[in-house]
Amino acid sequence: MKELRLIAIASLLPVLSPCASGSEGVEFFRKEVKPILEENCFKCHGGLDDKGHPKVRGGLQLLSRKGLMIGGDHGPAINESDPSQSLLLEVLSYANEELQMPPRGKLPEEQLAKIARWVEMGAPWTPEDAELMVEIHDPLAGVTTVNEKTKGHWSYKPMERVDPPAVKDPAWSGNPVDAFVRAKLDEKGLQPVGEASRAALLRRLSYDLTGLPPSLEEIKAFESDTSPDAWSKQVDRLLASPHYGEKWARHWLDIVRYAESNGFERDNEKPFVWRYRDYVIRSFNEDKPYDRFLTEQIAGDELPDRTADSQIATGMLRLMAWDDEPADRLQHFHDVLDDNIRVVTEGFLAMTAGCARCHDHKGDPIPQSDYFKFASFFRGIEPMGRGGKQTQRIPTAEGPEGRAKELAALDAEEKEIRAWMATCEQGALGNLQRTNPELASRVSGKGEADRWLLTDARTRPTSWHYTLKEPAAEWSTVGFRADQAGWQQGLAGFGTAAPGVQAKTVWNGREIWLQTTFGLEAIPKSLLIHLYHDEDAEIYLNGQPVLQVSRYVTAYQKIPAPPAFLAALQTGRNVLAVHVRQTSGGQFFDLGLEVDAIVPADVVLKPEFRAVSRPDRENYRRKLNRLKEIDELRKSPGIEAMVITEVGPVPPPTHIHIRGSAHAEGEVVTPGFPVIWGGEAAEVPAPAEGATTSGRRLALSRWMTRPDHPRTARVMVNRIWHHHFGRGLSPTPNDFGFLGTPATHPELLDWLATEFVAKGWSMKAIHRLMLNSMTYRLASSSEPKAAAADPANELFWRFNPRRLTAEELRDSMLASTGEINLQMGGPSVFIPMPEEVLATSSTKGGKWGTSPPDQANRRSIYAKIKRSLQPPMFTDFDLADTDNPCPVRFTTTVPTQALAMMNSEFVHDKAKALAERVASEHPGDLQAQVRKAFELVVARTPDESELIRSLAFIGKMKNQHQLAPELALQRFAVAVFSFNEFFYLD
Amino acid sequence: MIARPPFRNFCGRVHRREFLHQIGGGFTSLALAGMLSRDGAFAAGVSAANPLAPKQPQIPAKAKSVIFLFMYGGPSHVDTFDYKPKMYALDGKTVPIKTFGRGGKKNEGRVVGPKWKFKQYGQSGKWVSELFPNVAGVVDDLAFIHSMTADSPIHGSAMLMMNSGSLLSGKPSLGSWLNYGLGSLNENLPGYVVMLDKTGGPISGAKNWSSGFMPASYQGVVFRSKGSPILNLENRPGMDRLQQRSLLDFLGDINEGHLKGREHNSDLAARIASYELAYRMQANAPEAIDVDNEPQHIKDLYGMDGGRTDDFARKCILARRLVERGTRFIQVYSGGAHNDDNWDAHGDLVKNHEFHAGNTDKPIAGLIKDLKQRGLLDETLVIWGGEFGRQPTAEYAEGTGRDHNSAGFTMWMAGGGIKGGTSFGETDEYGGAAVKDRVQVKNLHATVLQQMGLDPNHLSYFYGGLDHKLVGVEGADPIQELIA
Repeated sequence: MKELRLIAIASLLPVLSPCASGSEGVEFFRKEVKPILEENCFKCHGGLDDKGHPKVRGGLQLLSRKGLMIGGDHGPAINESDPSQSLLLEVLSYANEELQMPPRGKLPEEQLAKIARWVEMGAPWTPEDAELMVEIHDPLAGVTTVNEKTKGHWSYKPMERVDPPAVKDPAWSGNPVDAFVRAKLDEKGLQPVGEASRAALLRRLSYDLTGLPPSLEEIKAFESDTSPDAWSKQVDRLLASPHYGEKWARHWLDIVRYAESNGFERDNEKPFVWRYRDYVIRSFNEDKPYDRFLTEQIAGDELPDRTADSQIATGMLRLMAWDDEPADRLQHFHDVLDDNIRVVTEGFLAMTAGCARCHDHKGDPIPQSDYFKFASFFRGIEPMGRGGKQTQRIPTAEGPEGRAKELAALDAEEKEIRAWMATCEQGALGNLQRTNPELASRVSGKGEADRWLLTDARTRPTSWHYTLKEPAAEWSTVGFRADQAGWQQGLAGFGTAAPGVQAKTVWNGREIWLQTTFGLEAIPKSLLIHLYHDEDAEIYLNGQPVLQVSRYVTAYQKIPAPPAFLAALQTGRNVLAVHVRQTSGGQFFDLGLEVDAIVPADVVLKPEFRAVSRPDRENYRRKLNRLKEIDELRKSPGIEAMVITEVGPVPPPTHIHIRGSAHAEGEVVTPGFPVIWGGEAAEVPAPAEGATTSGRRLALSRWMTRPDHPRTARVMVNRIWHHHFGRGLSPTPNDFGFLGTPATHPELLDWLATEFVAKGWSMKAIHRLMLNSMTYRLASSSEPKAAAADPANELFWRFNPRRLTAEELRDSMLASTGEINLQMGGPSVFIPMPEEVLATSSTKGGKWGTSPPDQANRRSIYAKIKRSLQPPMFTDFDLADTDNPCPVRFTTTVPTQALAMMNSEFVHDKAKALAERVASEHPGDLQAQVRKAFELVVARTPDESELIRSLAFIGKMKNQHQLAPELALQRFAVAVFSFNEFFYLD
Repeated sequence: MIARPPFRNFCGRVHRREFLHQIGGGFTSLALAGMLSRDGAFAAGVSAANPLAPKQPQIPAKAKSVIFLFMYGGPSHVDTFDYKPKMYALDGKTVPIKTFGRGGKKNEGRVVGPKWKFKQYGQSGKWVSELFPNVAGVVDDLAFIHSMTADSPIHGSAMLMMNSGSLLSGKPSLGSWLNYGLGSLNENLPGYVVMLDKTGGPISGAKNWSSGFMPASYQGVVFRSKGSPILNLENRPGMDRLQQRSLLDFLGDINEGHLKGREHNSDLAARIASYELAYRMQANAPEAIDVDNEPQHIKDLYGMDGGRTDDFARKCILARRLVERGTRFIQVYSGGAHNDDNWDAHGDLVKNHEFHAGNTDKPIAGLIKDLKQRGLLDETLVIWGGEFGRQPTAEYAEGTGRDHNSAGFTMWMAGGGIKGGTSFGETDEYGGAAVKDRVQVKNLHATVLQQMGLDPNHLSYFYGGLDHKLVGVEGADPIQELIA
């Protein structure tokens, strides 16, 4: 925070503290101890900085004995009853890794000894300054405590519904939105500008509701519709479009910092997270009541009437950036929690509660205890990736009989596939033996010792660490040291006995966790895993889930290490961790690792071996994929999704974290609501028998969706207004506190918010109210008098023009060429990424895939969002940051955008497609081609002068620049995509 | 990048003060002053139109530009600049020592003695290993920090920390802060340039040069030292500059027509202007990056000779050329991708460090000498170092590989008002942890900001209810002992 505090030096009273009276002690302090404190401590704990501002780090003042006794955020610095236990000594000793002072390095032992002696003496102080305290004056104290002023702040006080004011102009009196807006304008003596043209209106409305341009036919139909409800019919039509959900879901995704990877070192995929994106689209399209929408995202799994969708909704709490290998696991768990608290409080309540994590909020009446009471609603959430699992299966209705049938069919299918593949492999090997006997001889993998990174029990059993008790969550990571965690050691294989094998280390329980390590000097290109498992095994390499096998086998399997396995390899020490589960019968596990082996599948799959025909090869590949699917289908019915789970019905206690450090636990708090709204404790019903969660999140969402909640309805209504009118009634949609900007039309905001609740939290009802207003239909033109009086258009005397968003630009270009694929939903697609950008990734190709052209032409909301790698076309045009809630996007105008529009491959591809389209629709008629291009891009026909200029430009390209006609037309198309008229909505 | 009246929307950064400024500046123009700092430290002298327009420094500036030579992966300090003579004899012996690296926390380890000999160089008598014979020749210009510490010994979070001051993703990087605080001196070139290793970017890719919650205008622009330096800077094949001029003229005509009646929307004129600016950049940037036409003696000085040093030499020369043209912050990566493609020597330490030091030693020394002979070193702050250092002990039972070490490592700075020929801070006798004058990453950042004329404790950006600072909310002091 900025320096809010002023200093006022307290009067320096020569008071003798009783403990400081021993003159010998005082002299010792003055000569031996005070100089040490002055040199090492005073500066940050009571001193002034070079600007004369006081520094009181950690709330601790060390200028006086009094300061020591009062102490700071971690408590008193001196323990008077047992001086040897004083915090001061602990911190100076560097024994506590979390709290070491002074920060530059431990004091020399002889200085420490002096201080210890002095503390033992009772910390006597020089009498002249024993009571000296820097007085901190906080001018914002008035807004950081609960008082009449804070309770009366517009967004802390209850919503107040007043009747719409009466206005004279009949055109402005029908819609309450207009009445509120016009009354303010009348008050200031300002006239609104007139209504926008119908073409401008429909273009505005189409983009606002669907993110797509209207066709010229749609505009013409609207222009010729003379019925009095012509406009409201358009509003209804577009609100009913499925593309409405796609457009408005994106607004929501900005707030919840939606991305499909975790960020950090590996930036791994968040599996199935697209189901959450589809859920949001569906919710908007269904006009799901907002209170339900909110509740599902926070507590959809705890709802009595939960559905698959309501559980998918909780994926919202899994969207944050997440470090799978943090240096400080405990702190990072709470960082993730904090990320969610910020999204929930800023996103739903426009409350910057995150500021109160380390200390009381410095601009709002939110004490630190409020933050942790809020955090405790989420305390039971299972950490991300516990045991490597990030997803859950959500059961969908299905009878047991149907399931049995399905399983039998899968078994039969697998058997058939395996038989075919075996024949194919044999044939391929036979061919290879004829064409390349040397290569063929290597296929079986003779197992020379140096080729084995880990030998299996058949040759030389590897020693593994193992445990039969469920280990700590980080058991599979590189940093976990099984030897220090009390694991036992034993030789492979583990289990009892299985066909052809006998265990060396007996394991006859349900589960076993195994860990071993191997060294690598260089990363091999391929690896062969020799695996014998009975039954399910999850295999982790360096903390990454790399392979999962289920059921049992009756012989060693040779499995080529999958790409995930190879990607997780690192030079130096590698940690292999395995979790094996058995359900019935015997058990057995063993694993070997062989470098650079050629497996029969390679012989089939690698074209350079020329061992099978191409159709056979492709068929083999398909069968392999099908086997994976079968495995998936067999595991359990239902759909897999990233959702919230809790550790059980009783969450761990929630401590206040002193200065936000998870290692400095303060008092325990329980779920409760902010003090500014009464601070009552949450009523969380006791979890039912067999419950897997605490029910706390449901209690929170019940409170947040109370019809009289002072924030929830206001916040959402303000967001809807913001997206229709270019800025919110309060321009800071995520912050309604004292640091935010108050609403320009508070009465209107409250009226809309109460209406929202009264209409059953229907978002479409609010859209209708706003869109059917005159205020929305105003032109974006200016007018000198109003512009002088209200240049920022605070009062909405005109409509705020806006630039298209990154997604709208791309989707519109694809729509103009006719290439756009409007298929909805499903896994995200990869849109082409320039080589230059792929090269910035640490992995070759950045783990960026390729989607077939028709898929790559899907709407932008379906494009893959990877935290470390984003398409430049999106970032250039101000896509939301993926790591922070984004309530209002930037709208920058910078030359990189112009470079992209003039020189990028994407724009030139689209220009080519547009030119080809208009040429094929109007062969030989250049004028018609130009007209059509205008129509497709800016939804109107060019006027005479524009037509002449366009034809002249194309002529110049042909004649002066010697371009072929089709190329000349493409250059014209490049220019059309750069029209300001295309970029900006009136 | 460079901008005309730039943006009117803020990602949550709009607050009352900014809005008041906006009213004064008309609806579409941004009042940057408000977002710079809520205590108004910046209120004067800030253009309301252009986020990258040059701004007055907050305090007297010693340097105009920064070149950060980022040794990604973590170079071993005890094998390069942190001389530990006692370690040689201990090679292979197991000693009690607390370490925390990729492989977790350990209480003892097998010492890997330094694999290279050290000699003293220069007036300062600085001990430098055989890995850096050329850098050793300029030690009197360098100020070493031997007591660097970082909060994480894991690449992902440690990279973010060195670049953005935070272990968590989403914060603006050092170069973004500099451009935000100072603006660019050359509107034809980016103010923040990143040059990557030819093997690829570092882990987390673009997050390392992200502008976080600031506008994307402040993010790093990736420059390539061969071919087209910036994405989309070159015209598509078949489209020449004359055609482009005709296209811009036609576009200008149409846009002028559209502007009629919309003059109040200054974004429209700004967009028209941005095309002309981009067109000029296309003309000017190739000259700026033309390292091939440098005189032979300069190429020789850096080792731009087609051999192993060629690639890094080109980047160092390019960095100097950008400094001459006013780019504020240039980051050059040595090492990319994973494993031994960077300094991350878990396996064969000798092979790894010989490779990376051998590729960079001569170019780095050349850069220092060249900046000095042009009188540019005084106003250019050069930083060398990685996200952390390496352990004095072996990582596993056999071999010379060292694990990561964030408890103590070495970085050095040169130029830009830094006192050359000095060494600051110490690690313990093994080089395992900093014990004297410990320096945190935020102190390093504070030093950079101060030398560039920004007050580290008063350069802030309002987002999410908080005045964010690069050095953290509590602030941090620059390392005064290193200041000339």
